[in-house]
Amino acid sequence: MRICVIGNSHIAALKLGWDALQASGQAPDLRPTFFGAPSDGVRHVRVESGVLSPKRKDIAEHFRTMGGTDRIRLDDYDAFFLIGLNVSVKRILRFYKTHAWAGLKGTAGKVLVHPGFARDFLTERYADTLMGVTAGHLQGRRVLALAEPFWAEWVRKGQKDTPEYGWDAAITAGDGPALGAMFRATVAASLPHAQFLPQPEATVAHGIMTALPYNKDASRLISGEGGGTDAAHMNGDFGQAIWPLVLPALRAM
Amino acid sequence: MDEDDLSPEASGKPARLGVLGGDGLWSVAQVLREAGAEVADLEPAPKTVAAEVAARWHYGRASVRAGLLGHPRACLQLFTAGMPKGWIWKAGSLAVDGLRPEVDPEPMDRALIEAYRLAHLAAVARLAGSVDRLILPLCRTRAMVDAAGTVFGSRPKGVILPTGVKLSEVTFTVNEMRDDLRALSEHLRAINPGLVLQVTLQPSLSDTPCDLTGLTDVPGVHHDPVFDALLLAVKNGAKGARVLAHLAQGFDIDAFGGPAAAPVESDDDKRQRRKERRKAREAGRAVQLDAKSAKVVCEDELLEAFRK
Repeated sequence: MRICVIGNSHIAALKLGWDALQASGQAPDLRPTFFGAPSDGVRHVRVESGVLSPKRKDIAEHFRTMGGTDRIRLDDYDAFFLIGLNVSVKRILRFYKTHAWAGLKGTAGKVLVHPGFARDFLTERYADTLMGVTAGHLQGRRVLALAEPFWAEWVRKGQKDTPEYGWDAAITAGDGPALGAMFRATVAASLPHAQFLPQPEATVAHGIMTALPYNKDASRLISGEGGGTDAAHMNGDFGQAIWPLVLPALRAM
Repeated sequence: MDEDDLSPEASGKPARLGVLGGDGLWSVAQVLREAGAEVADLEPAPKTVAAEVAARWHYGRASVRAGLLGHPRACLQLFTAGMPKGWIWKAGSLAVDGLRPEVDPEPMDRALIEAYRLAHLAAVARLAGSVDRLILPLCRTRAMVDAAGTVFGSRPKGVILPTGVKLSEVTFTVNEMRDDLRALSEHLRAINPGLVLQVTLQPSLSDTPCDLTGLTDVPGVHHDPVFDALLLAVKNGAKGARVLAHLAQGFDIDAFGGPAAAPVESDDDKRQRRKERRKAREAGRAVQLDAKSAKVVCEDELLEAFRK
């Protein structure tokens, strides 16, 4: 099956995982072509006459480097796999700093809302992401969507120079699994034109974080959003954990 | 200046404004906000909420999510009744707050509804102390009431009342409504002696028209026919939004025209403002640095995978 993989920087883990699976002869029966652009670069694309192409030179350069071409002819692929594209659990954590839905434990000092309101609010917010917009470009085609991975669990304790999104507060309150479940439900609901593929349970820690082995060596030792070391991006093992789920998910669509 | 004069003219600061309830089809609080007045919201939605999601869940329609209210008895009960008998209605295995069934379009788990109501009541309890002026839109005289006199909302389809609770429709007399308004005014002033309670008589778009003129001269309760007329006019698209906001914030109509008097700033205020400006500048610089380095890390990570 020819599959077009489109994403932001999180596509790297998928590429590394694919290479490892191929090297070990365990790659599934797929023929992936990767097209990535950092941050929200994929926002700068247009779809005309069945061709998805970048509007900016730097994005076109990224597409050429990775996929060998800067024009994605949609009919050349049997399916599409969207990666990351600004769908992150950070959005729920920002909500959780000021609001909580009835049933959560960490409600002190927050506006308590109906769980249905939290669901509607978050679903609408996730639909407004680059993932939702890109999936909209691919309406009528087979599209699988993978969110940005949860951040590595070591960041929970808030080391110096690492951003604080409130992971520890949520986990300490005992709300990690409920937040993770709301994330899965609302992202799935926000993508009417795609099938959401949740992060495999084996890679998840505390409901909203990625287990340490999947972040090992992903650090770039530079100061970015991932902090002094990179907690936001995952390694090839993470990619290897994803690929076996792709073909069954596509076949089930 | 009279030292006891707490009016906005005397202090130069706009009154902190609250709105309680309103008609189902339009919101006084929203009209005032659009006119430029700042209306307190003690149960706010997240700032990034989409307008249609906020509207579906009754956010931003008043200072607390208490539902339509619309007559003095319901407003008084909001502050005094807490969780009266029969307030939890059944919707299958789920539950509905019978005192404000219109605010949530879906029922809730029975085990959660008490905590949910307590959180709402905590916001209601903070309201009187959080505002200088509380506007009460009144638009109806009828209500569904049980044998104990508790006022309930309209029962949604498929919802069952608790055993033993029977509701009947009553129409309040002018005297009853005046008594309720007086009691409400006293209750609120006991919490916040400087609070101005203002009624605005508005035609309901969702209920039978009724005569509320008997409520315009209740002792201790403010009423301004100019405000009422202007509110309705602005809601219907007429000019006058700035005057409306000016009146809503407690300023006198005679003072409208020139720029609002600048509030007198103390040295402490100035120091605080400087501190906040410095903090905002630093935060801005940090965001710029983060954005720059985040781009580096993403690009680096991305390209590395494809260089092999």
